[in-house]
Amino acid sequence: MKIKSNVFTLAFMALIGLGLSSPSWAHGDKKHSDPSPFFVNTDSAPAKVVSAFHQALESGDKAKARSLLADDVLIFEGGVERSADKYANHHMLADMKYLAVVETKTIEHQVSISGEMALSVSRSKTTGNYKDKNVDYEGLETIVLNLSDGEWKITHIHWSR
Amino acid sequence: MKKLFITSLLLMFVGPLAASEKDESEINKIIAAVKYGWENGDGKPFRQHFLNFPGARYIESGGQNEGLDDLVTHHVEPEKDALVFLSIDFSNIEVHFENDFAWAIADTRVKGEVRKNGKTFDKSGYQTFLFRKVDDSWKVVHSHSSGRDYKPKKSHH
Repeated sequence: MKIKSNVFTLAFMALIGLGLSSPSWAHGDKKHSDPSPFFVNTDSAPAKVVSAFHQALESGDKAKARSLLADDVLIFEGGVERSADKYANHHMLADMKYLAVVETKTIEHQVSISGEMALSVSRSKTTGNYKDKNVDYEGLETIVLNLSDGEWKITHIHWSR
Repeated sequence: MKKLFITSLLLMFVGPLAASEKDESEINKIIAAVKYGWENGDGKPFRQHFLNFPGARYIESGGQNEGLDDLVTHHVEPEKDALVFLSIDFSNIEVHFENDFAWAIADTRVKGEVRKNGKTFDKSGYQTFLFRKVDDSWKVVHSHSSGRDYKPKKSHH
């Protein structure tokens, strides 16, 4: 299902500035060296977890992707997945298969941190061809992360396009 | 001494619980106000309960509004003229707290009728709200909704 695709398609973008923390507006993404409100706190620890998650999905690294999710993660992607194991055993495999053949580029990614919680919002552009159908759309992603035992884990994902 | 001990225990365990219930009640009231605002094309609940800050993003099924003014003036208020009616139901609301941060999720059902062509829509989906506590009040700092055409679940006999 397409939403699923989005999912990652989305890639990250993120927005926020939420004011959850004072956004540094400094930009940590090497691909975007100019300070920009479209890339905020992308060199922060939770942002790196989000990026690692996306990379794991794109590269098909199941173990890595699963390890970045809290056990009780709640994922909205058209339907609902209420645990990391359920997602890893079902939709994640389809997401990986899809992301392996399309190209996803992050357009925005903004991260805000408030104590042990962080919010990542991102927008991405996905293009390519999947199952003989052209793909060309923008996706949006909201991710909530929690710092537990010194590690940032993804506790909620909402994908749409 | 015994009374003091019991009182201390109550303060330790019941106090935080009461605060949590108060917080959850406040957030549920905000969600109800947001529902009212959408259904009536009224920007006031958004201006009251959303934190206005540069960089704010509000996502709806792949599109987004940037900043509170954009949300209210380009999305919420125009709905009043563009739609004959709009009804939004939030159900199965869950709220998660982490100090001065909270996120809430809900199932959604959105129905409406487009004024210019009479087309109706009926979508089911999901809503995410992110909140931050500011000056002892919860404020929405981000929202994300998504939906698809409603399809009743098939009954199994």
